[in-house]
Amino acid sequence: MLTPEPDYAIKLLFVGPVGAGKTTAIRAIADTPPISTDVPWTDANGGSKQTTTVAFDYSTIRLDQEETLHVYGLPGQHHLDFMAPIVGRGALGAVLLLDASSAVMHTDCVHSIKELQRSSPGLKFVIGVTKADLAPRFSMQTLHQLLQQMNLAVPIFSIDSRDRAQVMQLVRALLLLL
Amino acid sequence: MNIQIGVAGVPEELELRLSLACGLLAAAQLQVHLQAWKGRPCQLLVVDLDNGYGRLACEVAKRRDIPVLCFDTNAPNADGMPRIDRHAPAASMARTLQELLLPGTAAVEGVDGLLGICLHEIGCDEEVLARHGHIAVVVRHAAGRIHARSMSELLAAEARLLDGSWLSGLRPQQNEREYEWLVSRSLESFLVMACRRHQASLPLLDGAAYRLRRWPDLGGVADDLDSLRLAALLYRSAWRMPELAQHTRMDARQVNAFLWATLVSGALHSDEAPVSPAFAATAPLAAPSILRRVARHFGLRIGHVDA
Ligand SMILES: Nc1nc2c(ncn2[C@@H]2O[C@H](COP(=O)(O)OP(=O)(O)O)[C@@H](O)[C@H]2O)c(=O)[nH]1
Ligand SMILES: [Mg+2]
Repeated sequence: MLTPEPDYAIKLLFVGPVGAGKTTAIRAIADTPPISTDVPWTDANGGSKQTTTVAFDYSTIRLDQEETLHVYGLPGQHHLDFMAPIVGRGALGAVLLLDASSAVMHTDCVHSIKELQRSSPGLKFVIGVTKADLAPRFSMQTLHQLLQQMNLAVPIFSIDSRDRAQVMQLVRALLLLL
Repeated sequence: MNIQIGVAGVPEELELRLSLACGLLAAAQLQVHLQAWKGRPCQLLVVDLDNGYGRLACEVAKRRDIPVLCFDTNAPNADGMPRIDRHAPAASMARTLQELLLPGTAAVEGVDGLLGICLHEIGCDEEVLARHGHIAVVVRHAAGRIHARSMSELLAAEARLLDGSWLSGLRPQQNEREYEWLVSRSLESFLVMACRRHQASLPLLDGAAYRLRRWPDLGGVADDLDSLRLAALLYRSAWRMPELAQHTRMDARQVNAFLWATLVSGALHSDEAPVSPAFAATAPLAAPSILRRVARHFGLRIGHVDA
């Protein structure tokens, strides 16, 4: 089960909209299948407080005798706000996954980046675009333009999150930014 | 040969293609540096006469006997000046520049086949159908994708990358649904693997310094750590091929192949050489031990993280 991590625990975040392949990517690279945990979440927006649950993934990668890398999958956009104080400290960086077959990929991209920048300013991240195999008209150009408009220069790789080697390659690109 | 080209009043998109063209000229041993013109002497000035500053620069250059090349225009003062089509692909811009700078030398291109076709597509939005016998691929250069009927067809295309017998044409507007029958992959990953495979046959790009303007899409070359490392270095600063090979201890041909792949994909540009070539090769920063451990787990030597 999810145990509270000491602050210095080193964490890798997978973020992005539902269906982008976060759980799949974590499964591909972590030591154990991710545990999906429901966390009660109180939406304080508006007058009436609404309590729902938010599912997020957690797994680990054993680095060596002493050290373990904690891997989190954080869904949606606004949920990041809530999760960031818990998992954001000590985060190495984030992998933002986007679904190429989604009609709202570009809006998802902008929103996710803004949330990421707001909740974890300065956190380094890379972008993985999944499901290009399901989106024959997918274009990298529009994403590059979008990031250029946001004044960002981050690696964008098209990957299949079911493929361990491709997810590893994306994480390596992130490590090369640190 | 070292050549300075000034640019004045040229829109960003055109300047980008010009700088790609200059990158290609390195294959003809021409080190061309593109710079915003501030009145200093140079071998050639490229101007856009549709722009006020371009017109002004042109007048000044004429008075100083600096040769001027202008983009196609209806401007009245363009009479008799050499021109360049503003829609020309980078490869033909390179040829025009070469004819002006070194008249009578062999054509710059240096690459044939599917690679040559892709080279011509830099900066173009069109979809190109390229054929070689029974092999057919669709190149959507701007989108960064290459399509075929099967993965094995893409592999066959890779094997024949430099064959002279590729034919190409614009793909007629077709049923959108047709793409659903095609497989696709990242054009950059395709080019990186294909150029690597044909590295012995590629002309050496040892004339100029190069830099990546953006990260290439390397998700599809999942086991290729060398390309990732080259990308990280070339993204941070400009490198000349021999120095990059020396720094990474990679085979010069392998580094050259990566330069070709990213040049043809449009990610790589020629750039001013770093102030000191040794600057990027200075002692790596000590990475925190935790980062070293994470890197090791993901198969990166620590030197790579610092690279
Ligand atoms: N065809 C295809 N399916 C993918 C790809 N990546 C993920 N999937 C599938 O997409 C579905 C949603 O993935 P999941 O990991 O649950 O997304 P999450 O909501 O972000 O955790 C799963 O069935 C995956 O197998 C991909 O690149 N191509
Ligand atoms: Mg999930």
